[in-house]
Amino acid sequence: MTEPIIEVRNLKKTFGTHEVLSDINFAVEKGQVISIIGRSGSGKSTLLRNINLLETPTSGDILFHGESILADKFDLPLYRAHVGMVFQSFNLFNNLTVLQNVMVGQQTVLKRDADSAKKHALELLAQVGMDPYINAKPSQLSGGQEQRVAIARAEAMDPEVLLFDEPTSALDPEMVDDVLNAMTALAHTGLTMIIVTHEMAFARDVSDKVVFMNQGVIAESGTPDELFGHPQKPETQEFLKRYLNRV
Amino acid sequence: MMKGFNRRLLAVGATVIAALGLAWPAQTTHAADNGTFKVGMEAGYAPFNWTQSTSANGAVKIQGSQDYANGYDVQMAKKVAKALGKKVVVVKTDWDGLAPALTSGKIDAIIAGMSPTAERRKTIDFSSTYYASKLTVVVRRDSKWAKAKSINDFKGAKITAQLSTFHYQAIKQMKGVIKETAMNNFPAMRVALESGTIDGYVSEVPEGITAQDANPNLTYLKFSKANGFKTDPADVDLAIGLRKGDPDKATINETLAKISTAERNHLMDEAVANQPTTDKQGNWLLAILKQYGPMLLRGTGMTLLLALVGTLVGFIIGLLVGVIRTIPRQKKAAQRGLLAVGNWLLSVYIEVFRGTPMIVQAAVLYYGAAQVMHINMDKTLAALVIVSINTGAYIAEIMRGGIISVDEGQFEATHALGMTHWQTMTKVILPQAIRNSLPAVTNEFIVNIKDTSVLSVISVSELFFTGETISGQSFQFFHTYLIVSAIYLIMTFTISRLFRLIEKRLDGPKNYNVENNQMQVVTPTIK
Ligand SMILES: Nc1ncnc2c1ncn2[C@@H]1O[C@H](COP(=O)(O)OP(=O)(O)OP(=O)(O)O)[C@@H](O)[C@H]1O
Ligand SMILES: [Mg+2]
Repeated sequence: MTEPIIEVRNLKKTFGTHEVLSDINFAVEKGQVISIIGRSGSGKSTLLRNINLLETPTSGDILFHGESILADKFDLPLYRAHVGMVFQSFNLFNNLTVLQNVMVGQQTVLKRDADSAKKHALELLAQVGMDPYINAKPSQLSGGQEQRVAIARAEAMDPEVLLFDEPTSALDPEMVDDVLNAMTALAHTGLTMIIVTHEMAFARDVSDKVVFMNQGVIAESGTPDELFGHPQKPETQEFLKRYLNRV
Repeated sequence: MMKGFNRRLLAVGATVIAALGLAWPAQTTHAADNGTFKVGMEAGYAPFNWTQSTSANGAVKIQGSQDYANGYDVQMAKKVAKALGKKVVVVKTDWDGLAPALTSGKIDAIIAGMSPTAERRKTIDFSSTYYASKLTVVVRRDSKWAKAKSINDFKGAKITAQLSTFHYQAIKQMKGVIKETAMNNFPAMRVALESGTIDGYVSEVPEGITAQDANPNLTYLKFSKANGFKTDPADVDLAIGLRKGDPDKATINETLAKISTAERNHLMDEAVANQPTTDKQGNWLLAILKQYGPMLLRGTGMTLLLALVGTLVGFIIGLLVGVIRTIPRQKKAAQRGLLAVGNWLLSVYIEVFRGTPMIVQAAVLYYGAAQVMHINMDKTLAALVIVSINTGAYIAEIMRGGIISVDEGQFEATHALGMTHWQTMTKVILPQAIRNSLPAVTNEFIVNIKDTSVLSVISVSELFFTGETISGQSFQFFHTYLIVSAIYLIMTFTISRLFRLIEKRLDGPKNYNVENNQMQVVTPTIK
């Protein structure tokens, strides 16, 4: 077995008295595409946000190449540069143009010079079909366009792992496909991805592993065939029944 | 003489200055004894002291300025300095700043047409009298009152005087007169007198001489001691203000004793003859601009400098404070502790400087530092420091609001890329926060243009103080302040327009071009 890139151990997260994540254990191996599905409020976003430390775990540990990311001496900015994130609400930098959005992380965090940052940015923007819009400000783009830029921005850091938190939930239906196509293309490059999504067809088609979360725990996980074809737990079956029309 | 300490509404400032004086009465400082005799005066209270642009008629250069001071007080100061074997230096000082300037050692003496009242004697000492003024009545030369020999010869005459002065109180001593409503200033009274609305007004002799010089139809009356007004020496006698225990007091008194009354009257006549007059004929605007244009320009320049530097430095302070106050929670306990202390100090800074008037801050820094810590700060520097720190406190809060108003998602996206707090702030958050708070910063700039006028308390010759000087010696209060208002308005209006343009620039173009050949695009710089 190859050593996992990220390993989550006994992760627990409470907000005040509200326990959102109870006892999460799972590992991500290099090149894996993992989809996390589950009901609204089951703790999917919270799990992703703990993985790149936008939230601090209450207890348990998260290892990156076997090293605890919670240790005092851990280089957090470097880790975050290696683990990218794409948000539901895009979060493009409003003060920067499309091109600058994709360049800024490369220049400030990776210390690349402007020309190579620009070259890399243009390649990635071309891959998501956003290269004609490099001079636009985020406020001048549609949601689907913004999200494709956000994907290029995360990719530009050459991350080992990309986290996606419902990247298509805020989009109009006709824009969803553009973004999903971009993500599918990414998955085929062999990038490691953790994707929180409600797009069941997409999860089934691109994932190596699907994780079903329910009430703060991982209720069931397996290959797409196992989970979608032969769900074992009644709550998984019930959840999937609702999305059946979409699969 | 004619004015009280709180001539302007500077009650707060005066209180603090007085408090400083009372708290450390013994620790008065002596101005550096390097052969100069530093004399404080307003240089805007003709004929006693005024500001002129040349050295004509034995004028003395004003310290740190291109202008000269002249007048009865200046000539008197020269005589005293000569007796002390020193050189006169005139330090132009606002009326309310005279006493603190003396006790804090910024000046050696006040020769500014000041009367030795009991109130003032609490904080400073006075020499013997150097000019004894008398009350007189100014009348039309062709009227029957021009022959009056006594203050009781005015039965049925309509008499007035300047508002809130002891002159107006003295009308009571004139038997059988009709006491008219008090008036605001001498020019108004001269006009009223000439037109026959009044038959005379009570004033001090220097104004009588001035009125007679300015208008040949008017004259002032001389009464014998028995037939004249009874006055309190504290009202009419002028003395030189000195620090308590000044060793030079005896020499100064001896010198004054040697100057006869005749010589004093002669000096006063000369001062009246030499005092700047503004041409009343023709266009008042051109007349004032011609005579005082350069002074107004310098005052405007100083106001702009104070507001510009204050807003700029305040802006930088505000940004830094904003950045520090939004540093996220640190992992290490020591860093957390340091941050907590730092944040606490910054809160204290903001609360103190927002919670006290700038006039008080200026007085404390400039006079207080000199009196208590013996730090002699340049007044322009002190003014710049105060405006900057004061503005910084306001802009820090504006920036905090601006930073908070930036969407939380922007912070999360920078963290997800691995940016540090500093990178997050400079590349992403502050550009947005600054854009959002620009209207509020513009406001601060405009407020600074206007509010730096309180810095006249430490005698910075900004626009308002210049206006005071000009109106004080031209007596054209309305016209002078009309011009001063217009200058303020032009400055504030220009600034608000300018910032609109800057806002537009920051917002960038409304539309973008769809690029077909990306490699041709110039590499953007991320500020
Ligand atoms: N900062 C917070 N403070 C308190 N409670 C929170 C916080 N963030 C999330 N929660 C709670 O944690 C629970 C899980 O939230 P989370 O956003 O992880 O759900 P989710 O599975 O992503 O749901 P969705 O599919 O709607 O995005 C919810 O009940 C939510 O109210
Ligand atoms: Mg969510």
